[in-house]
Amino acid sequence: MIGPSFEAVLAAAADGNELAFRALWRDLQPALLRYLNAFAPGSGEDLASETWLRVVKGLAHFSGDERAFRAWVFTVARHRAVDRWRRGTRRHDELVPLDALAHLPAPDDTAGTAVDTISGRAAVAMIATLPPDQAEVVLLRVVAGLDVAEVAAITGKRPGNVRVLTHRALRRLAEQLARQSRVGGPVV
Amino acid sequence: MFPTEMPEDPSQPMVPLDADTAERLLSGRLDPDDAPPGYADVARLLQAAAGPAEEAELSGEAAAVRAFDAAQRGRLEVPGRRGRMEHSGFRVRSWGRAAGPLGGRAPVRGRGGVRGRLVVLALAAAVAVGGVGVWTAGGGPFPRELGSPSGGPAAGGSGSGVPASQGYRPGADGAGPLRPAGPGLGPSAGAAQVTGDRPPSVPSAREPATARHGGDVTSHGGGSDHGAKPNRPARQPRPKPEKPEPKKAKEPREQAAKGPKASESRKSSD
Repeated sequence: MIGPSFEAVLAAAADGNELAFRALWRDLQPALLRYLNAFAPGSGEDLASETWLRVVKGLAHFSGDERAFRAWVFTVARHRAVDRWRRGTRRHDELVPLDALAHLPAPDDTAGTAVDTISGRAAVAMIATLPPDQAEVVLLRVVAGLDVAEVAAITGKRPGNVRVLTHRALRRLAEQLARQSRVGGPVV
Repeated sequence: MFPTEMPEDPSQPMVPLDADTAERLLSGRLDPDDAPPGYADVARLLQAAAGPAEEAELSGEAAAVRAFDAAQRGRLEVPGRRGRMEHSGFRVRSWGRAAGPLGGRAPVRGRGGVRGRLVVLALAAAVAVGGVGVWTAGGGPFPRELGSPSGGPAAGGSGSGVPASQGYRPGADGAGPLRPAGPGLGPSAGAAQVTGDRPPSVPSAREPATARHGGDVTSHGGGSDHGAKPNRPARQPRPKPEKPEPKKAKEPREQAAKGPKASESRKSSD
């Protein structure tokens, strides 16, 4: 999060300031990539680029605080992903890139399964194994840093539904991690 | 509980999460050592997912900045085809931004500023010659909906002539109710009101173009049906028939070209 200077940064970016745009991009791009790669592995970069293009076009029209900006950016990203999926390019997206696989721990690799050494991308890859609706709410909550109401608005669900999905996701994650620890030794 | 949510190992107790603990887990405020039984690894996993950026994730910064610059330059250029302008959604913004250096206090931004100034000067001349009494480079009459070409003193701190946002309209890109619609800079901020992704003045911007083509100037550009017709030599005014002819399709255009006085005189003669 950029913090109190966000308004000034946003205004400068809308006015064409390159440094301000860099600040916005560096703040959001990692989370954006993690979110998009979870649903369209291999297309995350493309979708993120499309998202930023859209964001740049709309910068001057945006009004709101940093949270609203994050929510907007992820809303745009979600729409890009849904559009891509609807266009039928999903078969291409189902190919998981090799570099993403390299970060995933092998099932029998005790050191690799240590959660405290897991990378951000590997953690997201694990979250992505959840059912899609559960994975999405968790990623939006954790990676994008949005609250329940914002996630509900983005996903078109009711806040109560988001909470239920989140609880189920956390429970399922706990079970998956426990299973891994039994297979590959102690997780931590 | 769904069958898929049943714990794999019933001997291991899965403590149900309360809302507060779940919230702290999701926000990364729950230390793994303080997590309920079975959730320590989840806490670590979520912290890793929200962890700092990795180098590979920031590798596209240069390309992103190049795209940003290109988009900014595109705003200062006014494409020749109206269809593209409408598609870009930058029509009003281009005018507002580029017009800034003419008389306002908008800063000229690098290469694009000079370029934009030239474009605006050329456009101003073209518009003035074309007989559209809408806008002149010297700050002449300007449509109220577009505000001052220079952005004016009410155009905000930067005076950039950036379209005054009435706030983001939900639905344009699915932002829905997430985007609080702020008051924006108001109608005097040197730009049109904004609806969604596209400034709403784009449809109205067709009107002067159509009126311009109603005269002697023939458009070859796309978007307007005038451009599809071949050039016609200037017609001599027809002698008035003794009996009023039934109205033809192009009569309104001729009337528009002659102006309201012509139509009034015609009515009076009738």
